[in-house]
Order: sequence, then structure tokens, then C-alpha cells
Amino acid sequence: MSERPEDRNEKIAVRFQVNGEPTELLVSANETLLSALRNQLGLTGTKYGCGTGDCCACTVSVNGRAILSCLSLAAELEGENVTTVEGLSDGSKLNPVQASFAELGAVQCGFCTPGMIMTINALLAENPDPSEQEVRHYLRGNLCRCTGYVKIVDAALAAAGTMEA
Amino acid sequence: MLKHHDAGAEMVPQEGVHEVDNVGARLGRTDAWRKVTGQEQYMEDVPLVSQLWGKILRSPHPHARIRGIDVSRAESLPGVKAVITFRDIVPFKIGYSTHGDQFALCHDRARYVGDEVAAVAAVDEETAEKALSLIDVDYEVLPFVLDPIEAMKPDAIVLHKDKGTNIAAENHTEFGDVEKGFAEADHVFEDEFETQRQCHVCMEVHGCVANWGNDDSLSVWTSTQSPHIVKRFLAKAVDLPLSKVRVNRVGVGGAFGSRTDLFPHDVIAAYLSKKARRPVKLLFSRQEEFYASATRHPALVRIKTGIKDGMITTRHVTAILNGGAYTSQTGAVMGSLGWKASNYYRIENYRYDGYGVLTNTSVATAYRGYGGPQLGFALESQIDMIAERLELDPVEFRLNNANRQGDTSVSGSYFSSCELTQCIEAADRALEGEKPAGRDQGRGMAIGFGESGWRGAYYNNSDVSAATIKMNMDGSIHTTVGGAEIGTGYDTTMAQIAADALGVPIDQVSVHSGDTNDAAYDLGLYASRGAITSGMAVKLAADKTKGKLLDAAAKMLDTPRSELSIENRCIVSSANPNIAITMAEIAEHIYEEEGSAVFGTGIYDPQTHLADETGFHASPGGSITYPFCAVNLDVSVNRDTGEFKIGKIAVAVDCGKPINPAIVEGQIEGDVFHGLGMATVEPGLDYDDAGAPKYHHLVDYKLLTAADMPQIECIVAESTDPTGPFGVKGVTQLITSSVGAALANALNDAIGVRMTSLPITPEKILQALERAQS
Amino acid sequence: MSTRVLPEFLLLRPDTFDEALSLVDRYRDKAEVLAGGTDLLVNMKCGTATPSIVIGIGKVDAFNRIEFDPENGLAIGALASIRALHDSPDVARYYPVLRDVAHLFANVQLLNMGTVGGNICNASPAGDFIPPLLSQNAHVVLGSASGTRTLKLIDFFVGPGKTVRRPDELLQTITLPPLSTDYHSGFVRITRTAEDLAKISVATVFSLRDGNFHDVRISFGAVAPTVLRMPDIEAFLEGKPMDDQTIGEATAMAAERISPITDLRSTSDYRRKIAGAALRQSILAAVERSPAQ
Repeated sequence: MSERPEDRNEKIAVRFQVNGEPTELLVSANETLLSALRNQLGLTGTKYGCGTGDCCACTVSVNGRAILSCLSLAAELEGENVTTVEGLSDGSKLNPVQASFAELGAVQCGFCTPGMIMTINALLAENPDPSEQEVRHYLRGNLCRCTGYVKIVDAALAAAGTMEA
Repeated sequence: MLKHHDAGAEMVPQEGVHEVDNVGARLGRTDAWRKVTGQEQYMEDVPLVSQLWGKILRSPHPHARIRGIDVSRAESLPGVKAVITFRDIVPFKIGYSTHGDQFALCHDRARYVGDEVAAVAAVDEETAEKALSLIDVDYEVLPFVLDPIEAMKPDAIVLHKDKGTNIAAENHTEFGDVEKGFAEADHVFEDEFETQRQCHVCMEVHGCVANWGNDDSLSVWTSTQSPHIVKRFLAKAVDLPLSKVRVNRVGVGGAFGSRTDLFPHDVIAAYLSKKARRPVKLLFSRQEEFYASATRHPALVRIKTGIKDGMITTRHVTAILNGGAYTSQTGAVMGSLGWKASNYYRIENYRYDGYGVLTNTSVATAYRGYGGPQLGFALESQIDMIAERLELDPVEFRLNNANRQGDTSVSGSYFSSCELTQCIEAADRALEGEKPAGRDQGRGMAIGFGESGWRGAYYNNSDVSAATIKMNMDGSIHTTVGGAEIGTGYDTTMAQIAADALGVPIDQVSVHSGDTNDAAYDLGLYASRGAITSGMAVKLAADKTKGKLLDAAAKMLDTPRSELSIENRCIVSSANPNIAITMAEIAEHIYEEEGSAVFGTGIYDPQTHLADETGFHASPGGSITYPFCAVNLDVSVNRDTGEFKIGKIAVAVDCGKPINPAIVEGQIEGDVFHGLGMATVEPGLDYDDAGAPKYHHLVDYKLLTAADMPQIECIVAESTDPTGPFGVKGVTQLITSSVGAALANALNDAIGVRMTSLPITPEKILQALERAQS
Repeated sequence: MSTRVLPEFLLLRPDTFDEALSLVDRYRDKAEVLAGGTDLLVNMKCGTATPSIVIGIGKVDAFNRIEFDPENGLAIGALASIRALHDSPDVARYYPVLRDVAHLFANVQLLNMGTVGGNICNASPAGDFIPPLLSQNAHVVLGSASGTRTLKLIDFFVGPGKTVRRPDELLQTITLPPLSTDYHSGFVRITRTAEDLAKISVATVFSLRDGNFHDVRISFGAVAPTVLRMPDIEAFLEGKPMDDQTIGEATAMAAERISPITDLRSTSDYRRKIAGAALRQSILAAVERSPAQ
């Protein structure tokens, strides 16, 4: 463990899983997970919306939990299992939440969509049959400026139905 | 050939006919797959080799003379590839069309906290940030003015010396005889209202990616509602021929009016790339998004209304809009507010006095509703206030004065369709049976009015859209349109129109928008014009394409063209049931045998009138058709804390024929969201005494969350409008204008206090209750 | 400053508690301790924290625990996530007011990342967990190279963002004494939206003996430089019947005993006006909840 301040530019090696792939990166101490995903791995589905944890556009899953990649240091993710929106489907078949978003008109500009979908997937993993109120409460941090949330909530409830079946 | 359906809900599929399967259908969006898998590319996602990061140094002062800028320390920081100031750029004034008064980088004066002073491009964001702190600017701090009333005074600090005044735009127009109208009225009421500086808060921040090629051509990816407008003015700003400037398609992460023009950051990114000879990605931080991107105009609106025999006869509206530091669209928004006021109800006399005033604050521009929300809050609040004073039922009062189909408004707008009364009745009925009975519960309504396209938005005599359809050899089609998919479902709507206009299955239609190299000149997406003007252009393009197919088929089949038509993806003859060839067969024939191509271009410019010098339009007005709506909502109030809860919002809209009901509902729901945010929790971008904006983060400037939004019931009061494609009208912004007043009216119904300023906060309610008690 | 990028710093990641203590001892004011990161990294992006060294204690397992036993009550390790608290059956059963706060806390993502320890060390007067912990008579255990010390939580805070934690100390554990299962508890937070910091928050804990208030503990958040207990109101309620009149008299005392500021969420005037209503709501919420079984 290096402790000399002049070493602050030294890169830190991190080994973790990203969308199921073992991944090794060299990151700076001040590199966020958001930056590592986007700039090093080209996974640009995860979005910068505010950088302060107030919009949740950058939501990804770490070990199944929805977290904010803009407030996570990449260097702290050694050994963790990260899933981004790109990891939800194999490109030919959508994940149930993605599918109901596409089908029910839950997408408008689409910028909040990856974060919304990651959050709803985390919700359904915890609670496969949420009420509308539970969906709304769970999504309280994910801001959307286009939809008034109506069709996003509909899509979450519809996906819950699909996942159960 | 085209079969128009009267009602989307009762689509009866006809045997073997597919032409109209798509228009009116609740289809999934063409961009959905890209967006749900994270593949849509927004500005930050555009991959360019060896790209640099751009950052803008902004004025920390609301008003300052810039005596000098020293960039030498920044330039010598390793990793910095370009630093620019006004000396590096052509002195082109950006603004709304040719009415520009803003240099992309300040010359000798900064006029608001956030004004662009210099910019850097560096190898990464961190280095660019660091470089900004190494630019030394010698400011002489000047006195400033934040309040438009102060700014209008003769001795006020003047922001733009060459203008000699802070009043950037005025409108004084009268129709009928207002003085006589008030003199003859039974009652005259005058009330004043105020609205805040709402921020657009697009989830994607503003910015621009620019690549200045070594061949002196400029390619940009800027999230915009109007690619051709950006191209037109960007070419001037960088002094290149239009042929050398390309605005590329890029995902647009929310717009709401905030992306209608060329902005300083577009020009700055271009010049940084030019100087560095590398692509530059320049994106705002969320803080910049709050204080340095444009906002809605804060407004003071005074309304004087004359009533005779229970009818509204006369109106005088006075509005003062705070335009911020540069004119931008202030004149047009101010004009639109006054124009909208002349169209809300049947009135005989109307006068408008409007002022757009410059102050040392962020630039105000187009924002969903375009003057409508400021006006709608005032006008529809006053309707209830008048009804209460005259002991009239507010719903009846609205119905009695409502516009109807065939009316021409006092200022000349002709309503080729109008189901406003149906909207009022439907919104009223929607809450029936839920009548709030308890103490401190109430209900309130407000109506709304909007445009569908707007002639002369850019001070030109045009409202033009363009589309080209190209049919491939297999009968599938490319549709190229000049607007952009900004989230509103534009591409999908165009695909549905193209599919039905040509009788092609929707899965064989692709739509390309947002790229100025693909499409002919098109003014873009604003004023709820996309579905109507682009939709008509697509339909015209389809008609031409179809003509080409039928001409070729007539020749090939040796059959009179008049006997041929397209049905079920085939060209058939009305005279001979044995004749039927597929579209693919005829298309292939045209390409392979005739050595020709199958395509058609549609250019649509509606038969509307340009505003005269008054800012108003002769009949049929500035739009070809006009949407209407009514909003009705229930509220309950906690008298201890002033908190209130909305039970349900019913929205009835006359938007003509919905091309895609899911997309229309999405627009209605989003419209409610912006309106309800403005009415309740969005504080507006306030300034402190030093002229600095108070809000920089979403933790302070709140948006409503999924857990806050009430249930929304959407009712489409369908009308058949003869003007648009398939009878469509605009729907993207009129409801925002109605929510504030509906809430204020409901609160008055619940607790007997009248809120006259937005946002309506629990604190204001407590204060009003206290005033009412004392 | 921009929330797009974090400034540079040296990241040190101790593996053990002792290593962590020796690092804080060595770097003191130059270093900040990183737990969940949800406050520190925001402050660094916004320029309100400028450490040259960040000590990431995420790997120190000793901090990451929530333990309950009926004798000693609840021990919350400084690194225990709010998610862990939210999901703990012991917390839900014996300290339901903490579960209430976890349920309302910020957003799900921050709930998964943030720690109770961070919420306390951040010492915001609006910190959601502080009022209920004060009303549960919580203590904090601070560790340093020279040993540990235990303080009443109420003595931990000095002002907004300020605590008595020395730069060479680390928060180790938060302890709550066992609460007899006949106690009632309630939490109320008044906000602008469902995801917001408090304009005002109140946590109330008491038991009812023959319908009379007993051992009342009331804490107010976001109304003063630190979260406040309300000894006057607590004493007033002691032994009085739980009825509208008593509650009315008690809530009328609230506005006088706070010193709120005006910020972007609320004016001080509004905070004063609703203090009584918030207290009433929290008492009623507590009454409504059956005591733990």
C-alpha cells in the first residue's frame, strides 16, 4: 500500500466482473465507476445526469443492488460483480423490464431509461410482485423529465407480471 | 386512396386492406430498442478518435467590464490543446434568427453569472477543469439589475449600450374597441399574477461535439430540436459555406424548448476544434445546466376583463417578461403570450401591452408552452375569480364563453376544428363520483389553448418542413425528415404516416431524422409542429412516390393509370381483378428495367399568415390549426402545514386525430409533469442579492418524483381537422399552461384562499390562510 | 468545480481497524474518511471538501455489522449500510422508528450505498437518522490509536458538519440501549418531494402507562445548528394523559424552542410554524403503531 502523496497519480489495478466478464482495469484514485465504464470499457449506456446522486441516471447494479456509479470509486470495486444496462440482454431478446418499456411507451427521450431499467430490475429481484405504490416509492430517486412516470410505472408493473409467469 | 378513420378507437380492419393499419395504432416506438439497451448515442457517447474535452470559463459576476484576459498560464499547462477568447472568433451575434445580440464569447462585457468568457480544450476533463482556473480575467465589476421592473426605469443600468434601453421588445396591439368594451361592461375585474423562472432540467445536459476537419469542414453533434437552424447560423458564426457544415443525428436527452436555437456552446466547441485540430466534446456540468443554460421567462401578468350579460366581452392583458441578459426568443415569447390571450375565449375587444425586458440574469428562451403557462395561470385563475364574484358556476361560465369549431378569434385565428366544449365536459365528467366531500378538499378546472406550427418563428415567411421517401427494390422505404427525434416520438409518428400513406408495412419503414446532410431544409421541432408539418411533408412525399409507382405500373401493365391503386402492398386495377403486382415487383422494375429510381420529396408550408408589425396574424392565423384542452383536478389541504395532495388529474385534449395513442398520452402526461412542477415544487432560478443564482444542484432545485405524481387520466376528445395529415393537431405543450390555474382554483375551492403566484408552496398557503383569518 | 469530475487525491485503503487508526492518526486534517462515499464524494466534486488523502475504510470488516441482543441492545458498526439496517429483522422489531427512517431515506441507491455512521459523522442538522437515534438515547464509540471512548450521541454534535470526533479518531460503533417492548415510536419528516432532505423532522419515543405519557423523548431535526432534544416538552408530557389537550399544549411549546434558519428548502418562519404540527404528527404516528411484541 503506497502512502506517498506524490504517488497519487499512480494507477490502481482493479479486478472485477462487468456484465459477467472478468475485467481488469488500471484506474486513478479519482476515477468513478461511471467514468471507468464509459471511458475505459465503452459502456456508454450508463449516463451522467447530475454527478451528485440526485437523478439516478447513472444507476448500475453491484452484486444485485442498484447503486450510483457517479458516486462510486472504481478503485473500491475489487472483486465485485457489476451489471450495466448493456448486460441485461444478449442483443436478440430483451430483459422483461426492457421489453415492457419498449412495448408500453415508457421511453421518450431515453436518457433516464437505462438507470430506470436497472433500478426496476433491482426492485423486482427484491420484490417480484410490487404494488404500484411500492414501485413509485422505489423509483423516487430516478428522475424523468419526459413521461410524468406514468408509463414507466406501468412498465414496471407489467414486467413484474412477466417475470412471475 | 387514403382512408381516413373517424375514430382511432374503433379501427375496423378491412379485409385485405393495410393502408391504415398504423395511423391510430398504439405501436411501439422505432427508437425504443436502442434506448432500452443503452445503445442510443447521445452527445457524450459519440465516439471520435483522439477527441478532446472542452470547458467554458464563465463570468462569476452578474455584470462586469472585461479589461483583459490572460490565457498564457492555461496554455502552458500540459495537456491543454487550445484556449480561445473572443479574439479567436468571428464577431457574429447569436440570437433568435437575425435578432442576435450575444457573442459566443464575451467581448468587453459579461452580463450575467454564467456568461461565456473563454474556453479550453484539453486531453481530458480534469485537465480542462484545471486549465480554466489558470485563465486570468481582469474584471471591472459593474452595477447590475435583476428585476425587470427596475430594469425598465429610465435611470436603470443598461445592459446593451447600443440598444439604449433594457426593453428588448414591446407589443401594443388592439382589436375592437377596448375602452368602449369596458365602458359598456356590467363588471370589470383586474387582477395580477406572477410566475417563476422555471428551468427545463433536461436529463441530458447541454453541450456540443464538434469536429473541424483538416479540409475546413465542420461536423457537429449537438442535441437540438432544429438541426437546420443550428446549421444555418453556425455556418455564419464560423464563417463557412453551408455546404461545409453538417449537423449530425444524435440522441436528444430532453429538449422542451431549450434546444431550438444555435447557442454559444455550439460555436465555442467548433472554434476549439478548429484551433486544436482535433474533435472536441464540450458538455455542461449539472451546475452549468442550471445557471448557464436557458430558462422559462419569469412573468408578471395583469388581466383586466369586462363582462356583459355573463359573457366575456373585453380583455386587456399586460405582461412583463424577464428575458435575462440577451434577447434570444424574448420578443417572440412575449408576443405569443399576448396572442394566446386573444384566443382563449370568444371576446370582442382585446388589447395587449407586452414588454420583454433584459436583466443581468440567465437567458430566457422557449420552454414548453411558450408564454402559455405564464398566461394560462393568470387567465384561468381569473376566470374562477370572476365566476366566484358573480356567483356563477365556473364550468358553466367556461362553456358559455368557449370557442367552437368555425369561430375566428378576435385576433384572426380560424378554428377549423374545436372540441373545447367537449373537453370541458369530459374533464368535468371524469371526476364525477369522486367529488371531494370532506373539509379542506376542493376541485378546480382550467382550459388551455395552443398552436400547431407557427409561421414566421424565425422572422422568416415560412413554416416549412421537408421529407423524402425512397423506396428500395424490395418495396421497403427510407423516410428522411428534417426534424429530429427529441423524445416526442417524432420518428415513430413519421413512420406510421409514411407506412399508411404508401401502404407499406411499418416494419419495412425506416426513418432518418436529425441529419442536415440527409434532409432538405426544415425548421425543426418547436411550436408543436412536428406531427403536422413534417407529417404533411411525409404524406406529400409518399403521394409523389406513389405517383411514380403508378406511372411505371401503368406503362408496365399497359393499363390506364386512373384504374390503378395501391392496396395490400400491391398495385391493383379497378377494371381488371386479375391485375395485381407487388410494390417490390414494380420497384425492382423501375430500378432494373427503367434505369430509374423510386423516390418522392414532399415540402410542406401551411397556408398561414405571417404576423404583421403588431405581432399578430391575419386569419387563419399563425398556425394552420389549434389544439384545445381542459384540466380538472382534486386537491386536499392540510391546514396545519399548508401541504396539499392532488388526488387525480383529468386531462381532456382536442388534438385532432392521435397518430399513436401511446405517444399522445406520453405527451399529455409529460405536459402535466412540467405544469405541475411549475405549479408546486420547482422554485425557479432565483438570484441572491449579489446577482448569483441560488440553485446549482438537483438536491436544491427539486423535480417531482414518481412517488409524488398523482394519477393522470388522459381523455382524447377527438376532432376531425381538415388541415393536417390524417386530421392531426399539435399536442406537446398546451396542458402545461393549464395545470397551475387548475391547482389554484382547486385550492380556492378547498380552503377559500386565492394563490396568485407560482410556485404554490405550503408556506404560501399558510401565509394566505393567516391573512384570511386576520 | 464540476460534478463531472473528482479532484485528484491519494487513496489509502487499510485492511484492518488498526491500520485504519494508524492512518487517521498519521494524516489527521489532511485526510478524509470514505465510508459509503455518498456525502464525501459530492462534497469533493462541489469543492466543499478538499482532502489530499482519502482513507477508504470499506475493507475493514470489523465495522460492517449490526448486532442485537436483549441485554445490551443494538450495536451498529460504523460501516453498516442503511440497506443492512433497513433489512434487519431486529431493527424492524425492536427499533421500528429506525426502519421508518431507512424506508424514507433519500433514494434506494443511496440507501444501498450510504452508512448510518456516515450520516452521523456528516453531522447535518437535517441528517435523517440523527433524531431517531437521539430519541433512542444512542451512544457512539470512537476509536483511536490511544484507545476508545464512548459518548452520548447528543454530546457528539457541535454544529452543522461539526462533531467532537478528533482528526485521529474513527467512529467505531453506534449503540442503542434495549427498548422495552411497550414503547411507542414515531418519525415524521416534512419535505418538498418524496426524495428530499427534511424541512423539519421529528422522532418521538415514549411509553404509555395507564394512558399517561412516560419517559418521553422528542428530537427535532433541521431546526437548529444541531439536532435537538426537547427536554422541556418531554418533562411537560411526563405523567400527563395522552389526549388532544395535552398534545395540543405540548405542540404549542415547540416553536419557541427551536432556532431554524432559512435555506433553499424552507424559510425559518415556515419551520417555526409547522414545528408543532410535525410534533403532533410524530406523536400520533407513534401512538398508532402498536408497541413491538
